[in-house]
Amino acid sequence: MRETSFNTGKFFALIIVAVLGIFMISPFFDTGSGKKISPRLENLKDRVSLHYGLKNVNDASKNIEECQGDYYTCREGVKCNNVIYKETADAETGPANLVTSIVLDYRAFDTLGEITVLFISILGVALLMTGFPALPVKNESMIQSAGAKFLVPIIMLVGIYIFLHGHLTPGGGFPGGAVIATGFLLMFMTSGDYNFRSRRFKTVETAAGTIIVALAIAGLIFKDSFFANFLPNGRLGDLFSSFLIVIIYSLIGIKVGSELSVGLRNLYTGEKDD
Amino acid sequence: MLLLIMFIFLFILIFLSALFAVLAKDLLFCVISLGVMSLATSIVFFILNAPDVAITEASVGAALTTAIYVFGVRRTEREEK
Repeated sequence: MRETSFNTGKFFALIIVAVLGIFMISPFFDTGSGKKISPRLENLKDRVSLHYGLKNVNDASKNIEECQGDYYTCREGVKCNNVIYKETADAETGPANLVTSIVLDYRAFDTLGEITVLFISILGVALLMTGFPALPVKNESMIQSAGAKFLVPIIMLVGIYIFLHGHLTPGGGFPGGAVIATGFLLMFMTSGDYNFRSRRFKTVETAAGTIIVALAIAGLIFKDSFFANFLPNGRLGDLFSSFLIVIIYSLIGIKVGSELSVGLRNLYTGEKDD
Repeated sequence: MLLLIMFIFLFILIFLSALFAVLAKDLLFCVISLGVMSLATSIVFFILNAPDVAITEASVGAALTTAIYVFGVRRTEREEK
């Protein structure tokens, strides 16, 4: 490598970062006369997300016209099929968290694709990391390992809460699984003698993935479409509501957590079959 | 007004940490500054009423990605040539 004072790669990286920075700062100096995204979307009635917001996609157009533009409040005499928290029962989609109802009810096939992408990437890590030597923990201190043993159960509990409560509050299977994987990461990074059997994790992960696809095919059998919600939804906002969403989110959380734990451990110690 | 000041502070933090990640010679410092950038981005997402994305960004971007980069730095060389 020859030494140069002017590095071309760094110069282009600086230009890219500067352009991105100007792009980020620019909204503060917006005069309001900018271009609209699309003239079709200026009218709020035409947006599909509004129909999702009302949670009654099947007959949303009729209800919006009856409501006379007043989408969120029900007035006297006007029959609006609005969704009310803790009152509506058996809505079209169960979760009170709107993001969950889109991610796992209307766009559940997309989520299946995300799980497949994660599975393939972890498979690639496991294939590539064979035969690497383990990297032992240097200068392992007692405070570090004891603090990790104190923190890890709390981290696991937060992860389980995030995916079990994903139909009511923000969160879901992917963040919950990532938090659980962070707990395992902290455990095997701080204490050198900690080791888990990755074969059991792989078994759990495979079982969870198989049950997710089986539930999707069950939706195809009992209702009309893949990933159809065939269990009762319950009252909106209750803890025990939208049962299929809770089951699939828990399975996704377990699958993602075990998958990421095994993948991180492979990156840390190399693939070992034990 | 307070929100605007906080936004500008977070944007400057994101910008400076990204710049530091490009310029620093020690790759471990680069990884840590990328983690700081992810954390500031997740706060921005939270202020913009997207708590789902904020949780995912904080757990994946600030924790797991940083750990993966640190493992990569440990297996290769720490100083940039």
